[in-house]
Amino acid sequence: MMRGTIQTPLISLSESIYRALLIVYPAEYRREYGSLMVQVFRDVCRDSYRRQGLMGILLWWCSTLLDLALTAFQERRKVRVMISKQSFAQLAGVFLIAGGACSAIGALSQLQPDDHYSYYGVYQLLLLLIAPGFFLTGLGCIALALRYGQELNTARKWLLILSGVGSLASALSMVAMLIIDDLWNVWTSTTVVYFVLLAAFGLLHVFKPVLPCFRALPLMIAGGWFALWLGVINTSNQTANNLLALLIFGGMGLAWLAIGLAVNRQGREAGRVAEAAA
Amino acid sequence: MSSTTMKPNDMLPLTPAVFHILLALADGEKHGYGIMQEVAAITDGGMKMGPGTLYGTIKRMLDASLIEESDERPDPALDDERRRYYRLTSFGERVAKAEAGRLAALLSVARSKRLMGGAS
Repeated sequence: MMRGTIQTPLISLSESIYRALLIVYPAEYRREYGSLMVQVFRDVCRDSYRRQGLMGILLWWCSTLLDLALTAFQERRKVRVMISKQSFAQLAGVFLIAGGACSAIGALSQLQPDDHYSYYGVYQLLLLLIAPGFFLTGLGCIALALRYGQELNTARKWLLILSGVGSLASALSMVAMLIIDDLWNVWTSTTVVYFVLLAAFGLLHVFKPVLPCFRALPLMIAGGWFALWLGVINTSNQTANNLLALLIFGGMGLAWLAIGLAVNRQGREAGRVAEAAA
Repeated sequence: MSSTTMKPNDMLPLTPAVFHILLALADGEKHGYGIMQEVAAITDGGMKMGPGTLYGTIKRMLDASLIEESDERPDPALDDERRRYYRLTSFGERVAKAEAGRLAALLSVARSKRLMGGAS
């Protein structure tokens, strides 16, 4: 059964992202089954693309992300390997890259042309990525605070941790809204808390930067979110409203993605320096 | 968990993923993607396993000696030789039969209680 050789940039990109996400599994499991899992993922990607095009790949990604989250948790629990504080902190970049990518791709759901009381088709699928985006970003913020704990003073460290908790709560309330309609206020409150705390952290970070990226980026994420959110509230024009929502989630996702990449790059450089010194 | 110390009935009931993989391998060895395709086919697309579920289940089934890796490799011209092939062990086959028997007995009860079509 030789598979077909369809290899579009989208399939290659999907494969690379999936390969990177396998880091959530225990190392031993990854060594044993990682390449086989990537091979199966790629095979299904090709089949899905052949049958349904872009929609097929999106559907496959949605089920794969759920599968990844559940089975990684099971594997880690089963081998009783608790992620230590240090190794959790090392995952900061990965969390932010994955969270940023989910948010940025999920932002495309806002391109649905009419009102957003309900989503349909591909827009509904894209919307499903927003909650994982917030969840992973929340984990990333907490991991960042642990990773740079020594350089950050207590206030900045706790602002970052609590904003991460706010992002996690926001993600969970988004999921809860799928079951209970009346939780809109809970989602708004947790999200506002997330961005207020992030803005406070970002403001302090401008004066004493620690993260290896633009010193004002965390503040810009929070400030941009508030500015655009106020725009959404005060805009009656549906098209402008949709565009602002696209900018909110897309801009935030790309900014976290940039910070995640910078954190990972710095980690690799530090590793090379330590290796050379040894 | 070793097949030498366990009886097939000790393994029951099986999880849906384990039973479906046993069914997929009942008519011959397959690689991971082949198993996924077979499971999707026998359930009419109702059960779609992700790579994590597939290989997590395969790992547990290898540990329980329900399946084993096949040493034989297909002709490289016909398939990717990096793939790993799996097949049922004799213990796995007995466990699959025991689970099928258990489910058949349940179906029989369901029929007798007129919960299914074809009740007598």
